[in-house]
Amino acid sequence: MKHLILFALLVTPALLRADGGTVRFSQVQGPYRVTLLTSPVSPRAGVVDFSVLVQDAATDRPRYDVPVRLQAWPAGQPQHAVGGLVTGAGTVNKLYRHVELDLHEAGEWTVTVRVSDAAPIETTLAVGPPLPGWLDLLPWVVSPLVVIVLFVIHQRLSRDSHHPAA
Amino acid sequence: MNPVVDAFLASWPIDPALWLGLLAPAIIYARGWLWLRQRDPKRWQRRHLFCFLGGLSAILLALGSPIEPFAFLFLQWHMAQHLLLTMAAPPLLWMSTPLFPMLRGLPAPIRTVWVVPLLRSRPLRAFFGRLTHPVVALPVYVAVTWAWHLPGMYDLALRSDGWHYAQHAMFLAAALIFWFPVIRPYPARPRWSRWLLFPYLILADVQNTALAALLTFSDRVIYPHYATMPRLGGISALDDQAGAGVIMWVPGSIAYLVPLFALALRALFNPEVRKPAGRVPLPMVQSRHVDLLRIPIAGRFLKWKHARLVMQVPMLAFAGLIVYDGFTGPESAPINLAGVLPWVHWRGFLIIGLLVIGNVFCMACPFMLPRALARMVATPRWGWPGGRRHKWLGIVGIALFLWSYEAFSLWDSPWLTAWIIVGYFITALVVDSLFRGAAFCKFVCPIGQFNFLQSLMSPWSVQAKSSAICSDCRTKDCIRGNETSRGCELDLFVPHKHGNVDCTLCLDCIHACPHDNIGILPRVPGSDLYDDRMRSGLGRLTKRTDIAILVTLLFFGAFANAAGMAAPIVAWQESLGISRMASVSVFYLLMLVALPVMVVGLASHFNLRRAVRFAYCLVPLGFAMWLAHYSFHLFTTYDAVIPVTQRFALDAGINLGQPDWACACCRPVGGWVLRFELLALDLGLLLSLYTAFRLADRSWRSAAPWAMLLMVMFAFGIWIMLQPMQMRGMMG
Repeated sequence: MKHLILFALLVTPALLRADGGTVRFSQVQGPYRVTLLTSPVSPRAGVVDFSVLVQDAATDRPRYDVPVRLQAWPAGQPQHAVGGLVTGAGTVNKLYRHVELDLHEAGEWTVTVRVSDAAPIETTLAVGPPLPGWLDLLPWVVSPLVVIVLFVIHQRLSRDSHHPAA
Repeated sequence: MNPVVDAFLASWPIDPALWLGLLAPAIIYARGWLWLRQRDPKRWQRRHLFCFLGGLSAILLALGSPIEPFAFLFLQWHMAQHLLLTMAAPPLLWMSTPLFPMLRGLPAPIRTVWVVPLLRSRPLRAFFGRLTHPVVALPVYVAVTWAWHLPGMYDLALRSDGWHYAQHAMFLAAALIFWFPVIRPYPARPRWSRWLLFPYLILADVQNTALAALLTFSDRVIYPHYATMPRLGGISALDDQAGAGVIMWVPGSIAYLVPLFALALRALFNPEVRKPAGRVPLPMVQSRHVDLLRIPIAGRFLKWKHARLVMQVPMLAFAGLIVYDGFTGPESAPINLAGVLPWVHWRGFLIIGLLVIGNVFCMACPFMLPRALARMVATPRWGWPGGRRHKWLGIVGIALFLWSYEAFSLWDSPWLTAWIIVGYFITALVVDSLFRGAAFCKFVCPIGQFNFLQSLMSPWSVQAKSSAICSDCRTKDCIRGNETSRGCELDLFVPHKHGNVDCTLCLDCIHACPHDNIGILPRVPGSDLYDDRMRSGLGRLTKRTDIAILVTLLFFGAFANAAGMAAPIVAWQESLGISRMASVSVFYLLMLVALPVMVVGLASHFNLRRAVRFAYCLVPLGFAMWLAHYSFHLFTTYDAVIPVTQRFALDAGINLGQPDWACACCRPVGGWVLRFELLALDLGLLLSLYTAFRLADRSWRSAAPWAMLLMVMFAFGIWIMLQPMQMRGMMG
């Protein structure tokens, strides 16, 4: 049972939502309100989706005419920064712009979001260790067991239909 | 326009699983509804179809439209999504009276073998009957609704896709249970008083109102997720929550009160008459042939007498080019046609052809053309010696091929590849010049034996359309032939031919039949493995030791052939410290002799009859292993043919461009390839287990040793797939 719970806990945060996710911060910087969201909820070493919503601080209207750059680096190692331009390409929720970054190691990461020429907003992100590679393939390997269990139930029920209780 | 509205209208989630999950029932229902409507248009009206499609559309709107991404931003949209799942889709689906159309729309084997026994199951019917009784259905519905509206549960669903799916699935399931007693779709019979539905719907409305009021009048944000979300359009989180409460309150109440009003009207003006509970007959099942030969262009082509020749000629040309390049081209396999086309493309297309259609290679086999020419000159006089009507020559040929493939690195030698092809032509010519019929195909050809057995997994088969017409037929042209076409050269008499074993898809029987009573009809893949009828030209499969050994050889050969390119196996062979020929021979002795004798012996308690009977359960998993292996090469190296062709053309003085050898070089293997391989093995294992179960006459105990064998080999197959592979036929 404890293995099942462990498996559920490991798999659940691994599910990647296309964009959106958990709000990391939402604050006003210059004329903009900037909201940063990450997915999955509990990031693990590997690809993490960063979504950004930029709004006009006065009217709350979304702003798509200003460039947004996002950078991330392991705490204290800015020389290992990864980052890129945050764009609307590939987002499901078109309110957001997003970028996918490969956070290659577990630990604390510093993330900065810079909107246009405004000062960057900085936050920290705790990144967990990556899931073991085999876990990604596990559903493909164990899925026959699910079918076998369903088949056994089916046969049991079918047998009951053929041999009604006296 | 407002940028938020713009973004909303453009935010369409892409979820192929959802679309497929809704499209499949729509097609099944429509198919069944059409069939039923043709027979009883008064009962099966258009409104039923519209209701079903409307119900599915409500689910699509909830989960596959901009409502889905915006549900994470606004509680109002999330509430609308839940109302669609609980108050729009379920009643519409039940109003479509889905049971009979869905049942009728399913393919016959699925309906009869899998679904009908479940519908007849007494425990299942009793369980469903209790679950849909108003006294149970209402508490279930209320419990699910309230549980998922607890702040902790609601936030859990918003944090994880998995829990969000679970929430939606539970809402939909609970709502289907709730609305069943209200709609009571045909053929459900009344098991409770109609008056019971009045408190039922009123109580449902009361709890809905209470929950809605809680949301509407709360002075704090109940779900913390929405408090953290960016606000848009000047709507605060609290306003959003109140709006969600109103959506739940007003449309929700209408959803309960409208049926309540309708029930009241019916109770007043149409008093209930309890009809005696009688058995409701299931719709009659009639089979209708789907025939590949009826497909507009392809079917007409296949029925054409010279269709096979038209397919064989290009194959012969390819064989000629491969042989020419094998003898005269560079000796490096990745840049020679003989090193790429047979080992990457031909094998890949052969196995995929078997999976999708059937034995298409034998249909287009080029080795038959020279013998056809020879037979124009002289007719063979001898029949194949009666005592040797078996597959032993084919078995020896396959074992030799599997061993020599590794021992002589055939994939790496265009010159040897060319010689194999030439040898094939010569052997076919000699055998068929001496013996009547298709002696080479039936008794000698290793490729043919492979195809015959693997085509047991094919979805199509040459069969008689009507057994009555065959019974009345006096001329039996399909086997005897006539002046326009020869009969079956493999001694397969179509009325008694079951499955694809020994069928080369030559279509001679189809051309010969004067009644147009033979088609290429669908069959359940693998179903012939546990069907031990007398087969024309074969007898009973469980009496054919030679075929059972062939099956076993091909099963273990599939694993040996794939394992031979896995790095740990290659390293193990090298660690033996003997010559490559010797280490490969040791490996193949272990894999093709020692291992089969040991595991099949153990599974059958060293009883030959039992081993022969159960050997057929190995076919699906073996096929899956061949499919995984050969498709791996095809999917990872499919474009290697381009530079090789360019190189060949340049050598011949034709400029098709400079070869880009990057296409023939190692590249990262896409993750989907491994998943495809695992999926193939999964399905192969399941079908093999089912075959063992059927061969054991549904006895779990008898099937258990074979199930163990299959599970062990499945695990071995997974291990092979996860190993680093030598990328053969590619530049290292």
